[in-house]
Amino acid sequence: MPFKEFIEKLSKAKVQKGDIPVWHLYTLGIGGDVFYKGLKEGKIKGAYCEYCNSVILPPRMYCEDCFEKIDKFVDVKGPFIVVAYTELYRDLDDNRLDIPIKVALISVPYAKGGIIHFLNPYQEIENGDIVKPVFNKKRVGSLKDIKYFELKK
Amino acid sequence: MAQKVAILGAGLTKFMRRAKETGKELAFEAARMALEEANMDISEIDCVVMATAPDMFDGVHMKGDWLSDGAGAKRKPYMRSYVGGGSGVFAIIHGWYLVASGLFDTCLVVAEEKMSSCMPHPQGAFNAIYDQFLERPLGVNLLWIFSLEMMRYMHVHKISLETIALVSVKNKRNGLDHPCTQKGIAGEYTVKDILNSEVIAYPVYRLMVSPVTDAAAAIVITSEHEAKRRTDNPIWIEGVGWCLDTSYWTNRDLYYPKYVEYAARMAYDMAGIKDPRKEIHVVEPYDPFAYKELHHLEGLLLADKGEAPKLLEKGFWDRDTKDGIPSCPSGGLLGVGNPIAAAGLMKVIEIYLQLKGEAGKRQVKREVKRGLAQAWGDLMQVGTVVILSK
Ligand SMILES: [Zn+2]
Repeated sequence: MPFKEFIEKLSKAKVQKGDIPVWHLYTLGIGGDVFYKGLKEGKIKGAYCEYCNSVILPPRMYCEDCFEKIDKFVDVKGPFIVVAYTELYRDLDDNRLDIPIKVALISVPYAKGGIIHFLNPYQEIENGDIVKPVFNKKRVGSLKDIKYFELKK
Repeated sequence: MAQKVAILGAGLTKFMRRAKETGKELAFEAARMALEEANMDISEIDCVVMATAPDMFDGVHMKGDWLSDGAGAKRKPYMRSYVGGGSGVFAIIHGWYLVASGLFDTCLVVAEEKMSSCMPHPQGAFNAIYDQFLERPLGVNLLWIFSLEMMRYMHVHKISLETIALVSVKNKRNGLDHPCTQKGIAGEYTVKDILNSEVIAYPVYRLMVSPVTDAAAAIVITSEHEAKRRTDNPIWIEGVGWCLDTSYWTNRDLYYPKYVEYAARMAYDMAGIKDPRKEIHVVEPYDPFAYKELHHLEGLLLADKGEAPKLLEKGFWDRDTKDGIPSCPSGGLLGVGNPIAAAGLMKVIEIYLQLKGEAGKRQVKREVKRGLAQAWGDLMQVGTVVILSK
C-alpha cells in the first residue's frame, strides 16, 4: 500500500487555535485616489494613456500595456454595458439569501478595463444591456458610493 | 556553459515610512527608472522577476501575482522570488539563471515592499514565521532571535556593545549621502547616542535596528550580446550563491552564519575568486541590525571569526578606507531604510553604482573592480550573495 493510515475523525487530531495578529491600513495610491474622489463627487473617473490613446477604467497611475506613467484623468460617462452578470444565492457565511445579489462586469466600449459592481436586484437585466450608475445621496469616497447600476431608460 | 549576464540599468524609489503610492505604483516607478537607464522599452523585456516579502505585509494574499502589472509583467513569463529578507539579492540570482541558462536575453528584476500597510506593526506577521507549538505560544517576535544571536556573538568573541554601536554610527553617517534615505534615519551619531537609545530587547538598542519602510527597486539584466550591443561598459554578474540552513534555529550555532559562508563560497567559486579579502573591493552585507553587518562580513570570509569588530574599530570598513574594504557605503538598512526585498536590491544597486563610479558623494576612495552584495532572511537561515564586476 502506498498510503499510510490517515486520521479520519477530526476530533482525534490534536490541534491548537491560532491566528496571525495583524490588520491592515491599505494605501489608496495615486490611481485609487482619483477613483475614490470621483465617486465622492458622483463621477466615474478613468485614466487617459496618451501612448495608446486609451481610456482606462478604473483610473491607474500607469498603463500596463505601454508601461508609461499617466497623469491625465477623465470623466467616463458611458455607455456602461453589462458584459456578464451573476446572481448570488448565498452570502460569504454560506447563508441562503432571500433576494439574490446581482453582480456584473460592466464595461465601456471605448475604454480598457471595466468595473465590477452590483445591479439593481429588482430589475431584469441581461448581458449587453446598457446601464447607468445610481449614486447614494450621501457619499464618502467609497466603492459603495455607487448603490448599484440599473437599466438606462 | 552559462552565458555571461550584465546589468544595464537600475531604479530606486525614495524610502519612506508611508508612501502615498500603492505597492504596484512603487514597483512601476522603480521599474520605469531602470528601463530608462537601460534605454529600453518594456517590449524589449523577455521576462520579469519580482521579489517581495511576506504577503502579510501588504495584506494582499498572493501579492506576487497582484503586483505583476506594476513590474511590467503583463503577458510575459513572470516569476516571484521569495526567500524572506534574502529576496532582494535572490531576485537578481533568479534573473541571472533565467538569462545565464540561455532561456531569455533580457530580464527586468523588481523588488517591492509596502510595510506600512501592516498594523499594528509588521512584528505581528513576524510572530507567525515561528513554530506554532515550540515558539509562538511564548509570544515570540523577530527581536527574540536577534537579541539571542547578538548575545551569543558578543559572548563568544568578547565584543563590547560600544563596538557594535560603531556599525550604527558608520552606516547612519553613510546614509546621509544617499538620495533615497528615509527621513530621520541617517545622521551624525556618536556611540554614546546609540547606547542612550531605548533598549528594545537587550542587547539590541533602538538605534541598532533598521526601520519599517515602503519602497521599490529594479534592475535590468541582459545576456552578453545584448549588453555589448547596448553599452560600452556593462557591469557583469560574475558569481551568485545561496544556501539555507535548518529552520530549527536551536540547531545552529548562532555566533556564526554558516549558510552565508556556503552561499559566499558558491559565488566565489563561480567568479574564480581565490582570496576574497584581496579580490572583493567593496561590499554591501545585510545590516538590518548593527551586529549583523559584522556577523555577515565574517560569514562572507572577509574577516576571520571574531575579527570583523576589531577591523571596524580600525576603520577597515569605512567608506574612505585606503587599504580596507568599504562596507555598506550606501548607508545600508540602518542608514537608508529597510523595505525588505527592495533593501536587498538597493544593496545590489549600490555595488552597481560603485563599480560604474556613479555613487556620487558615496563613491568609495579606493579603486574598485569587483564588489559583493549579500542579503539574509527566511527563518533567519538563508544567505544570498551576488558578485559584480566591471
Ligand atoms: Zn497605454
